[in-house]
Amino acid sequence: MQLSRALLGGVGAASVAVSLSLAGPAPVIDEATPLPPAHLVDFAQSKASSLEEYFGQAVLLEFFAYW
Amino acid sequence: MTSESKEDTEPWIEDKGVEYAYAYDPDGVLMKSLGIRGIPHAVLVDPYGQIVWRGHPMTLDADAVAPLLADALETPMWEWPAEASRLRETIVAGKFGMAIKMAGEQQSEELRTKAPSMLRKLVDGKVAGFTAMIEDLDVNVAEASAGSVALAVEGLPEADKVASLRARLGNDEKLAAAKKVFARIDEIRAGMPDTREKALALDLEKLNGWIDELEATAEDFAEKAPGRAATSTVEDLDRLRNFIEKERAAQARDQGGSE
Repeated sequence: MQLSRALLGGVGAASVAVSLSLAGPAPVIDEATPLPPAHLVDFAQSKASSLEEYFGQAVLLEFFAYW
Repeated sequence: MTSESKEDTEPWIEDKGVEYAYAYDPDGVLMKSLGIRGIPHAVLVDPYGQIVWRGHPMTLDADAVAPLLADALETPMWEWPAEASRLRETIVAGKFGMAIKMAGEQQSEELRTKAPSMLRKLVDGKVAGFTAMIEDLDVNVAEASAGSVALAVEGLPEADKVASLRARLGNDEKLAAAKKVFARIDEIRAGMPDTREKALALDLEKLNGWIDELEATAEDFAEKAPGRAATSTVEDLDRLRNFIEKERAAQARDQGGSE
């Protein structure tokens, strides 16, 4: 099973393996919180067309910009 | 995901040879809901729709991911069998109460055995999160979430509790006061200069007034969402003040040296 590294970018095309091999600090949140409602559009390079279609998957959402 | 335009982003995607999935967050709505003010920033969401980690993507630890993978469905939704199409549509529509009943009747063993409890946890998380937002006076995020939470619990015992929480959004005095605070913070942030020239032209007395006002707000709403937003804005205003003072001092030195 793979982590759905959906909607990634920003740090370049680093692979999941690279990201996960780096030791980092503990999670920065103490308590799990629900993902707020999201109306994402124009999914690309994915078989999903909405975030809801990632139901049941672990998803890493990365916020990036082209600049 | 990005809140930038497709026109600017697509050439970057092509140039970098990006192969991963991506999408657009118009006007940065999700980014704002999550209070993200710097990028890159990542959030890790478990199979039950809960954010379990957030931070710089390069600091993500494998230990945070492993348990999530163990819990996740083997088969992603887009590969579910055709007979599960109604369940798929119901989940995508956010009608989790209805989906719980449907999931238990699926032919697929994985969906039949795992999806009901998964949906149940998703609902529990949504209700707990919505309750926490109300208690935290995070009124704008609560308002944005209210509709989807109500839809999620339709037909479930939690529907009454959610209806009661939604009613508070319209008639609770503390929540109304919190809403005014967030609006005022937005107003102040909109007045913050976005160029060096505008920053240097800013009246420092006005800036100090904003800081005093928001420090009082932070105290009034200590340990609640409006208080944290006020504190964060004070920090930004303080940085701005330091910048202006340094720049003006440098300008004064330059002028003194040339005379």
